[in-house]
Amino acid sequence: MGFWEKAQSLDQRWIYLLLVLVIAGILFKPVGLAVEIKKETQAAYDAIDKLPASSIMWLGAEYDAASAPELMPAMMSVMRHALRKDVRIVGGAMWEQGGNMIERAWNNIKAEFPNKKYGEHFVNVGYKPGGGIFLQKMLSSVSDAVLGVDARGTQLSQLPLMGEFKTLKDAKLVFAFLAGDPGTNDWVKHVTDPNKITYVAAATSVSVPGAMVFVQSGQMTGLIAGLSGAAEYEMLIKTPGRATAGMDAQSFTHVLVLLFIILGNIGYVMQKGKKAKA
Amino acid sequence: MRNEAPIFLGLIVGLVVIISNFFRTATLTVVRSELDQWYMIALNFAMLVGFINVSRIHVDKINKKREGWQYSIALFVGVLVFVVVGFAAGSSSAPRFQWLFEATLDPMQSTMFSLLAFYIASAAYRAFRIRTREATVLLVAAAIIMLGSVPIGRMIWSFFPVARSWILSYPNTAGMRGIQVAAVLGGMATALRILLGIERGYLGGI
Amino acid sequence: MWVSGSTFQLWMIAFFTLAIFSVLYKDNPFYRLVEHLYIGTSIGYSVMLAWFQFGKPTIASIIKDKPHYIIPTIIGLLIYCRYFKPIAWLSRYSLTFTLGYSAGYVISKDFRPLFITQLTATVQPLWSSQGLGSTINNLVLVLGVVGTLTYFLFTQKRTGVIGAGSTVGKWIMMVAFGSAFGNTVMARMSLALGRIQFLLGDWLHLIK
Repeated sequence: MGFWEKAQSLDQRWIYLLLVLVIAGILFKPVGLAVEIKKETQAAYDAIDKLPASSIMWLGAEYDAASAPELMPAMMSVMRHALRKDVRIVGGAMWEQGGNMIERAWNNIKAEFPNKKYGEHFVNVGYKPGGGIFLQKMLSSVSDAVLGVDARGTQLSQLPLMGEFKTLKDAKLVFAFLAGDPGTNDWVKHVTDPNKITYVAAATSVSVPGAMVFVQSGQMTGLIAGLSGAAEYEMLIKTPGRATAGMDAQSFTHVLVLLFIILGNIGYVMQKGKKAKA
Repeated sequence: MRNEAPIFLGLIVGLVVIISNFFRTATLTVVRSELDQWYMIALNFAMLVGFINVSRIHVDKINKKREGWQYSIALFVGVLVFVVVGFAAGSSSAPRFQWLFEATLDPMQSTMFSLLAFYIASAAYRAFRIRTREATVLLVAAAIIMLGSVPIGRMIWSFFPVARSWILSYPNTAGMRGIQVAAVLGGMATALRILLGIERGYLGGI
Repeated sequence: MWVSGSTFQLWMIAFFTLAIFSVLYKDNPFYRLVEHLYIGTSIGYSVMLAWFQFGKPTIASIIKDKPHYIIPTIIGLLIYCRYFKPIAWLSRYSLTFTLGYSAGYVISKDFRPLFITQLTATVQPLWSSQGLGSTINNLVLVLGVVGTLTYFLFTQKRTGVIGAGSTVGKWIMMVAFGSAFGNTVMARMSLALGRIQFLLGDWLHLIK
């Protein structure tokens, strides 16, 4: 068997091992590549930065554990930014795991904000079924949409923040974390287009091409795109975290995948040439 | 009547939704608001269908002792653990339930999906072949996006981030918008067919 | 023990992570066990969410001040009649109610934001006063959208203007799909990175 034939029939487990070694290697010895802020990320940051103190922001967690590595760092950064600006947060989700994702993000950062209390500065109403219909219902009455209780089973009447947040229109800004459907289309249908509430999002890289359509049309004000967007947001709020730590490794995995494609095609061409000669 | 009456119900419900969107009278607003709530409630109480379907398959597997039947028991153990802890915790955001979610479902789902990274790397080497001009354009666009999105791209060539931004803002937007607009038209046509009872596939042969 | 980030929890997470990763080497009993556990926990979680987030509050509302919510509850429960042949036809009411609502919702809500606004945003000057760059960008956008839509006209022969339009659409879609592929690679690599960061950082404390 010639070299290229051997290369073409390489056991895929060597490829897996190489990927793990590259990621682990760079995590052990980071290179320190500088992260450049993209304009969509800056627009997302500016949208929160402009909010007056005490205004209310809706946090929509439309993702699950499969997208958490990309979106959880962004969610934590956004929550930090909002709470530092004294913006109050009400969170909810059209995805089942969204409520628990919000709870996790809050648990991870609440120690940094000892004067921020659940019920006064932050409420999690959790997941509700219906997708866009849940959003639609919230435009007329949040209490009816969530049947009067938050994610923890507490009556909304016992939460001071919910005394001011009666409908979704009371939110100055909607910040959604998107991983698919239900997601952007539902927010645009109910929030941006008819009601003109400022809409900003963080999306998994897979969802970014679809979300850019709404950025161009002006229906979405800013966009945190994938893990790199999350790293940029961490730089903007000057609190580097998991996303920033992972950017070097992310960079090298991209180079590795492209090298695989190039090598695979070189091998293919060489083999094809050999067969043609034979 | 067993076919026609349910389809007629669907038509009435759909028409109320459509008409209430265009005529915002007090009565229609109240009716629509109630209908929204009814939809969410009806959808929520259908939650056990997935569990019943999966259970039938695995109970049958256990009864007939088919290959791997022991793993089916693990499946039911997983269900039971969440149900018991859930009821003991009292809410889905209670600390115990949150703990269980973060200890089990969260990492299992994350890791399952992370396997795709390895499969993509393998496919990149073994399967991605540039045989046509279209595939070349696809690969070049992908390469620009991949390098333009991460810091190393700017290090290799400062134009990569600019090119990435341009591709996402213009050709990608154009292509995705065209597909989305076509999908919206298709979706509306399908919705109309469902309302008029022409499309009955969703009844599943019941 | 119930504290998030406790040693016991970290070891559980590490076990599940490594058991699933082990399939990359070879299919094995640990992977199959965790795979089935994943399906089971996923179902158990969904059932509990549905109960606590909406089922229990609905029943509380029915008892307290909204007895008419019993009607949609019954409509929702009718779906389970599909498992009993003599009354399986009753489940059609549940399906047609939800599908009828969804169909009406799509027709009334999708058109303006996802069609009209999108097409309005596509109407850009084909000769921009802001320079050649802006003109090229607008041309790519407008011709790209028109070309992509033309590509999906299957009832017309691909000759003349239709042929040229669908060719433009094809190339624009190739770029869009390339963009989608590039972003997909990025997303998947982030997931693997996240898991390895957990193993090396949170579990083994070898990295920060």
